[in-house]
Formats: sequence, structure tokens, C-alpha cells
Amino acid sequence: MFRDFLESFRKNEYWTYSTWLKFGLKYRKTSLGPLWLLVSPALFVAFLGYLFSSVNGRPLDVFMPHLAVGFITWTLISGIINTSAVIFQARRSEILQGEMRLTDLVLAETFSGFLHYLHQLVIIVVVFVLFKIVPDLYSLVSLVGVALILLNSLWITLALGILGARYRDLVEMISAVMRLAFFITPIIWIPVDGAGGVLGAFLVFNPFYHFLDLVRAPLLGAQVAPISWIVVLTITVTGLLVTQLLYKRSSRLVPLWV
Amino acid sequence: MSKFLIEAEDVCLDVPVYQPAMRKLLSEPTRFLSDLYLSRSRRKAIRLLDSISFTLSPGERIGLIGSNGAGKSTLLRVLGGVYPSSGGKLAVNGTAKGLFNIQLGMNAEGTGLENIYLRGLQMGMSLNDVREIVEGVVEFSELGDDIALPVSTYSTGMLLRLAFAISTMIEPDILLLDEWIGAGDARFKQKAQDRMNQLVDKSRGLVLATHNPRLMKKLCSRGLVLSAGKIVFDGPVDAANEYYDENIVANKTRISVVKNVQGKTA
Repeated sequence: MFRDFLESFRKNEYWTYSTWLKFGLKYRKTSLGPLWLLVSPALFVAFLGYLFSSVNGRPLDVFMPHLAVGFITWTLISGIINTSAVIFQARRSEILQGEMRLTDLVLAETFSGFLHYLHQLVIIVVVFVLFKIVPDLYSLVSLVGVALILLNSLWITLALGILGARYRDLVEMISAVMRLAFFITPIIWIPVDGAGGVLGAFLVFNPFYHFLDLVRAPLLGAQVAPISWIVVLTITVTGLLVTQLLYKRSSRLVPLWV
Repeated sequence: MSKFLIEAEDVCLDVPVYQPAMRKLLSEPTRFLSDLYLSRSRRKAIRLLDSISFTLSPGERIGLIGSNGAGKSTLLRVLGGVYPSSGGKLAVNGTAKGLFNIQLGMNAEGTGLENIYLRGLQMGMSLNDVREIVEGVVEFSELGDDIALPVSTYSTGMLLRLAFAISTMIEPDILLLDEWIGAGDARFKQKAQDRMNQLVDKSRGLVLATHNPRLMKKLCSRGLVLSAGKIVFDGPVDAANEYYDENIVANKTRISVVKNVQGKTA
């Protein structure tokens, strides 16, 4: 698997250019173009920001940035996971042509998610300007957080893609879990002592929280908790190793399953 | 290095399919629903290829002939490395590339030019390779300035010409062809045929799946008759065609004649 990923990185023209082209084509006929990507999350952040800052009893200038960074990053994470279980079915014709490795397709999918994320970052910038939040040097750690999310996206997409091609129930299961995960992860609420009730106490067991905090905490002037680093790095290494076993065993069979 | 381009020994392929518990769908619609909710469909492996053994020497041209569903296209996909064989040994020396689906990866919103890039990249070309073929493709497809228009505005003929021009830009050692591809009006057809002949001439080996005995006779030096996933005949083209006519085509007609007779007496 690692060799195939390296090879795909070396021969990167397929997954970069064709993803880029398809991305452009999708929005060519619209007048706003890719700016449409901003509309839905902008509305969400604006309205829910006002509503939930009073529900949470937090001032707007604390809650809004928390929500903006959390929600946009969540969109990246959940987008990756939600589509992963069907990507090989969706790219069936490319698989059956026989020129593309699965890793090429995985990179194309991750790259596409990243393109969307880059656009939506504008919302975070706008919120930061409006509420006069100035990132410091430590905020650069956020970039490490995003990089780790993308690295994890590679094994998650590959593993769930293979499993999803074999077990068609997986995609339904994932969408059920991800809907719930949105609410139990502190995105539209802020975890402080006591807040979130039972959820707060069990937060440490929520992997999404740790990934999210790696991006969010440094931007909002907080330190990333050591436990978050430990959890994220453990998941990254374990995930890559487990996926390698799965890839070795089953990747050849994917063309028969899609 | 083996002296054969392709060496297949007892190659098998099992493919999983989902089968509904009941086949007569419309005669009992309620049963269809109850089966659906009680998930009574079964996953089961079907053997599509059964101990396929043959070799392809350099310069040799093999024609695969057989009725629909005999496994011709499937065999090509196994040779092209798309499907993994479930058993047996398969050695392919050199690049084996196929023309399986000439409309692959065409994006209706994109212009002709953009589609050349999309399609070229999907066929595993580098950006530079694509840049090099662009001119040739535009010229061959005779699209002229229309290449800058979205392909959704193209006529069927134009679309086929473009797809054909892009797909035939490959230069593999072993060419795997699923049916002979012709495209467009009579004049373009001739041009397409010349291009296909060129492609065949340039390759070091050919495996062609077809229904057309005449074409096979023209192009191939050896014929394999496939029936229900098995090679039932391997030999010179003429003998293969004869075998196909006598044993496969005739069998089918005989069966349908018998059915007709039964239908009348019943």
C-alpha cells in the first residue's frame, strides 16, 4: 500500500489535474461558481452562531469563532468519511479500465475534499476579522492538524472504500453514525467543566473531538491537550497499518465487487 | 523472460453476484417486497471462466469467438489485469492494454479539448503525453473549431469520432480488443478502419473478441471458441469458425427449433 501511495504521489497528474478539471466543470454554468460552496456553511455559521451563543450562554465573540472553525473543519472530516464507502462504486468505469490504482482514486477523492475546504476557509477568515481575533505563532500548529486529517483521510477512504464495495450496508451505517457524531462532538457547544453533561466526561473517547481540537485550539489561542496528540497519532499509525493489511488482502478483489 | 507474450494455465474466475430469492419478479409483487425486507437475496459465486489455458506468442493474433455471455470480455479484462484470476497461473509479458469502453470518462459539461485531457489522464497518460496527442486527436476527429465547444452540444457522430480518436492513441505491446470499433459515417468508417489496422499492426500481439467470423478471418491467425467460460476449441481460424458454426450456432438453433415444435404440440 505504501509503495502504491508513493507511486501515486510520483505520478500525480491524474488525481490533481482531473480532479481540478472536474471541479471547475461542475460550477462552470453557475454564476457564483465555486463560491456556492460558501453559501451553505456561511448561513449555518451566521444563524446558528447567534442562536446557540445564547443557548450556550457564551458571548458571541467566543462562540462564533469556535463554531466557524469547528463546523468548517467538521465539514471536511465528515465529507471524507461519508463519501468513502461509495467511492469505488462511483468510479467503477475507471477501475474497470484498469489503468488506475485504488490509491490514485483515493488521492483524487481526498484532493477534492481539500479543494472544498480551501474555499470554505474564507468563512473562518471573515469571522476572525469580524471578531478581531489575531492568530499568534502557535496557531501554525493548526496546519499540522489539517495535514494529519488529510493523512488520515488516505487510509480511511481506502479502508472504508474497500469494505464499502464488499459490504453495501456500510454506507448506511456510516451516515447514521456521522449524523450523531456531529452532535456529540463539541461543534455547536463548548466543552467546559460541567457543560455537555455526561458527554463532557466521555469526550476523551471521541476521536473526532481530538482531530477537531488539533485544528481549532491553536487558532483560538488555546494549547492542544497532550491527550489529543496521543490519540490522533495513535489512530494515524494504527489506521495506516491496519489498512495496509486490508489492502494487501482485498484490494485485488475490488474490481469484482464494484 | 518467457518466449510467450501471454501464458495462461488453468485460469479461473469466480465472480460474486447477488441473487434475489425469487426470479419471477412481476408475477408476485408482494413476494418481491417481503424478500427485500427480509433480505432473502443470496450472495453467490458464479464461475465465469473455467480452466482457461492458452499461450500467445509474439506476432500472433488470436480471435475469441463465442455467443453472448461466453466470457469473452471477461477474459480480456483478466488479461488486462483488471480482474484478478481466482485460480490458475497467468503470466503477461509486456503491457497489455484494452479498448473496453471507448466512452469512458467523458464529461458532458466539458469541451472537447478538456475531454481529451480528462480521458487521456484516465488512460494513464502523463500530462505531457496528452499534450502531444492533442493535435493528432483534433485532426483525426475532424472536429476543427468545435473542439472548444462543450461535448453536450455534439452530435452522436461527433462524440463517437472524438472518443474513437482519443481511445486509439494507445500503443500497447499486447492489444486487447472487445469488438471491432467503427464510428461515424461511411467515409469516417474507412478512416477508423485504417486506424484500427495500424493499431493492430503496431502491437506485438492481439486478442480480439468478436461475433464476426469474417473479421476474425481477416485479422487473426488463430481462433479460440469460448462457450460458458471454457475454451472448447483452439486452432486455425477457419477451423475455429467452422467449429463455432457447427457446434455453437447450430446447437442454439436446434434448441429453439425443438422449443418451437414443443410449443406447437402443446
